[in-house]
Amino acid sequence: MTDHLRTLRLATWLGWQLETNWASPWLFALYMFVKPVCGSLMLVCMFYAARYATGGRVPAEFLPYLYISNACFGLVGTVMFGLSYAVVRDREHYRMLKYIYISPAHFQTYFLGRGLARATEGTVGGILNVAAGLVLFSDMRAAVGGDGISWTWLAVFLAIGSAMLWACGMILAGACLNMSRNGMFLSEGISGLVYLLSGVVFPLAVLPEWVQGVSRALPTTYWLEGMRRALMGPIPADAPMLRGPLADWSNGELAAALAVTTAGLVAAAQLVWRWSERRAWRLGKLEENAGV
Amino acid sequence: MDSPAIQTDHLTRTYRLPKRRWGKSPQTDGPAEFTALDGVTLEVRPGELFGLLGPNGAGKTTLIKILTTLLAPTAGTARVDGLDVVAEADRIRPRINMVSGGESSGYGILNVRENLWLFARIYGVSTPTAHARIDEMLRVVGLTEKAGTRISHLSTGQRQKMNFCRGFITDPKILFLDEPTLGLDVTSARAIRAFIREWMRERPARTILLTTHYMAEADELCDRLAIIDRGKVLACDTPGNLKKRVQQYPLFELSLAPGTNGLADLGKLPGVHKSSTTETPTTVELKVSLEEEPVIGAVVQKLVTSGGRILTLKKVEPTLEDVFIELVGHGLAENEAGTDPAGG
Repeated sequence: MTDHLRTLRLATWLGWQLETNWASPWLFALYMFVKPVCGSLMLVCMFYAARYATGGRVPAEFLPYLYISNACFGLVGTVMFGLSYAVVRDREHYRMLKYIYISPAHFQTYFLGRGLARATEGTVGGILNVAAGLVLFSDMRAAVGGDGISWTWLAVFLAIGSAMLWACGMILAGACLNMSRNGMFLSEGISGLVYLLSGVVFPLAVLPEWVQGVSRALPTTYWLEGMRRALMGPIPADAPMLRGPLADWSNGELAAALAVTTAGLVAAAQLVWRWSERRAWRLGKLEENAGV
Repeated sequence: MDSPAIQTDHLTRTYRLPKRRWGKSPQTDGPAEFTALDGVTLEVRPGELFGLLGPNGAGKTTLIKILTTLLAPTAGTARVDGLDVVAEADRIRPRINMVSGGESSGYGILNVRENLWLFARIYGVSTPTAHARIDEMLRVVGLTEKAGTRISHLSTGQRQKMNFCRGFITDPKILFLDEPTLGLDVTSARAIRAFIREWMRERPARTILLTTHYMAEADELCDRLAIIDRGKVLACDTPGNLKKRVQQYPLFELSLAPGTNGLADLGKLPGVHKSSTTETPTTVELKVSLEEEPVIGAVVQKLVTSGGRILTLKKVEPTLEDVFIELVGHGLAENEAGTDPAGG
């Protein structure tokens, strides 16, 4: 246990150094703010364009919906993509993966630590993003905390969501162990697909029936729905576009669905990671360098 | 008696060669597999500095990868400190470390001290001990002034020195050095060799497995060494015994002034095994191999009494290069083709 904690602490420290140490603290702080906020502002522009083009038929409630969804999804992208990136960077750029592997560091715990550093970055980015939205848009101010932020549910969804994000990241990182540098494109692609299917920008209600089925199998869908509710309260009854198949679920049902799908995902992640690590060891992929 | 520090039994490793790629014709004419290690059986005793000598593609690096638990063997067994590399990898790892020469690895955004501290801590070394060891190692390799410099700002040689330090600061029981002085300047390489000797003397239970291209380095450092080529161990013994294989008789070289007589009769002297002469514009070069070393006195006397003038006389010691050529059929530099996918 002590070994695991030491590995976790050192890997988190290393991850944080690698993520933050490339620029001066001020420049990094600016980057942490500008990157997520610009992404959200692009969506806001698209919202206003769509609203103008449809003569106002896109409801005003859609702006906080997509803003909050996008801010939360930043954490999904950061952790999922970040773990694959850690594998590729350690192996191909720093060429240190083999030294980590043959050390007493627990390999999986090491990546958990690297993920924690990324999660911290994603969380800070998300908070800054939401804060910017609250300052800039009155619709956001009206929606977020209108009925009071549910801190308990926020903590519940964040706790289960952390396990879910880590499991997603480990599955992709495991795949990257057995792929060359280009394995990162897989993570980017899957991250994009999850973005589309989890109802970040397009609410489940507007997706085709069969796509909604796929969406309901993804824990990210429940997590985003839970995060939105914890921050903005229940979905307004007069916004049918936002009322998808989960609209009538209670927070408890949502959390249970998230917990069940996450448990399945964690189990799958363990199997995939162990198989991937063993395969990479067998085939000599742990230090294979594409030299790209 | 202690169990061997390293033991391999018919250790074999094959690599599957890449199959067809998009837009490229399939490889139909070559074999589908490459054998990097072919039934290697070795034993390294505790406290030994054991060398692996071989050309590129001989299988040296593949052997180290398997022993350090980085790569799975295809067949056979390997044990490190009595533990199986497949079944007990987790127990082996705290006891070993590895340094690969000629590579510029390291977390470039961290400085030298941070990189070394990180690895010392991963191995459970306390922070005060880690800093003391880091100071000592940086002094040995001449990097003290670079302790606070980011790795990305170091030259390739400096990075290599830092990696050398990384291998030692964890004070491993068994250390694997894969071409540790490759690409280093002469002074640094000499300092590193001196340190390796000192490190081994400091605690006799320590064991090093060293791979190298450099015959002189192997000769200077190793208690025993194995010559490996195309995945097979061709010979394994002390450097002295290996050299005796290629030179049964003591050999002397003499430079004589032109016009020396009696050279043709040298072969008839008792105790002279063979003699040969080569004439240059200014000297006559004589090589004599003797059944016993003291016979050189009779040879010198014969030359002097024949009116010859000896300009120089030296005993020729065989080198590991001679051993290598005898066993492999070519020198180290002549076999750069056909390298294995693992790089060695």
